[in-house]
Amino acid sequence: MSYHILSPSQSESGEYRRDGPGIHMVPMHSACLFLAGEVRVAVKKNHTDMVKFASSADITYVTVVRRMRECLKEFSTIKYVKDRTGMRYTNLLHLLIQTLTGPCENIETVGIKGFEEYLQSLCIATHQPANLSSSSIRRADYIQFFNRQEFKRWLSDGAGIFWLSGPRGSGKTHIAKYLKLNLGACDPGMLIVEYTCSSCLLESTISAFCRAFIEQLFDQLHYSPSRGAGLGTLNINDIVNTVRRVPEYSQNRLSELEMTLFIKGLENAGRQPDEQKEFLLNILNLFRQMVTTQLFKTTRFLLISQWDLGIQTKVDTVDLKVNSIHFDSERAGLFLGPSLGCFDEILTQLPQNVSMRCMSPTMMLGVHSYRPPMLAH
Amino acid sequence: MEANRNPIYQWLLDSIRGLFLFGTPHLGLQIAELKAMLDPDQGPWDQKMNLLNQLTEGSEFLTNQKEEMLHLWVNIERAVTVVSFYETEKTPTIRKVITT
Repeated sequence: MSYHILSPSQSESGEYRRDGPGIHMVPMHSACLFLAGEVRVAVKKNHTDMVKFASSADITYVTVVRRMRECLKEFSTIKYVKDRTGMRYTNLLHLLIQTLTGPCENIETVGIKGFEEYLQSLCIATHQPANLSSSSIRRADYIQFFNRQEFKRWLSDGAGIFWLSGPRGSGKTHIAKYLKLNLGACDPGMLIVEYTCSSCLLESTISAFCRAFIEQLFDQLHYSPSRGAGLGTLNINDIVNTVRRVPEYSQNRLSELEMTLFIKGLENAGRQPDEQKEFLLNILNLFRQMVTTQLFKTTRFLLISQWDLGIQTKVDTVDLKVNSIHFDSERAGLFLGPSLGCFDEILTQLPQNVSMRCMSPTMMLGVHSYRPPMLAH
Repeated sequence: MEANRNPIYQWLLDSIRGLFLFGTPHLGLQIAELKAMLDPDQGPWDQKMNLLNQLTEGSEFLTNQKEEMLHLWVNIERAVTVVSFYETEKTPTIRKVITT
């Protein structure tokens, strides 16, 4: 039953007018739930006019907007980014998609729930007590870490995700920074992108990734100053044009429709765990295939990500706030592209209290290669 | 509340970050003048009257709904902002003007 049937309407014997004696239609005690933490706002209007805002300066309207922003502020902290042409993008994923596929319209906001849950499911938490301060880590310990069989195997597999987890102060960041400094200097062909996921919400995670990815990979490339190939002088457009000249890209490029479906699928992924994995797999492989394999065919590629995903099964407000500040509270992740050749010379140590686990492509991602779902021709 | 009862809508419930309620009659509203508008000769009178009775003060329907809402609220673990707007002015009632 709809409410519009109650609207005043003309009858055969006359017409209705709203000019009878005034009453309080819905008094405060009825309009409020009196919940703990509920915000109760008095509107100096009657029941009919309370949602008819005269202008954007209307005090109630301003209150609504402000409160809505408060609800949404955890979803994204980045207002916009600019590409090389000065174009502003409020959604960093759109920028990335546009960079990879060309102009893309009608892409809706990406849902966050499923992605976050899947990322959580990827993390293997094996906590051990911290008994080493990070300052006590020595180079020999790093070498010990990188000589571990599971890490070597992971490197030689050339794909997959290696999760490095451990308590605060156990040395995850030191290992990541050591990698960044030494792998880049030792192997000029190595492209290293480091980024921080500083929130447990997906949009921030994607934003952080895209921002770092675009800035470091497509623009500045300053994290690997010794690398050759002159890629550091290319701008985004040059790189996009380069990608489009690669035969595999021309034949297999993702269409706008596919990207839209991809995002839609991500939005719906929260309902079906298998699909979540499928979509994250697609994301990871999208980057790997589009960038690593096709653009930088001869470039070794390492993504270092600092994750903070709010792994607790029960996340309350306090935890969210704490986690958004302590971005490196629990775990660091290393994302690896093609195999590395020089790590034996540099690598490194794992302090005894840092737990780690190697995930091979078959274990983690299910398949070795990614094939876009709509490209069967 | 439907999402709470039906698991296939759980994702919808999980996505809620805020509730904005504008003059929502959790405990009912004044319906006397609306009742007076109902014309037995026009449309599904019983249906309309039934809806009005559900919205009246002290309605069992609203009481149950509010109870369910409060129960739901207690069980939501994450932060959900609830903003309730309430009117402070009187609303002119509707009356029939006989035209000749």
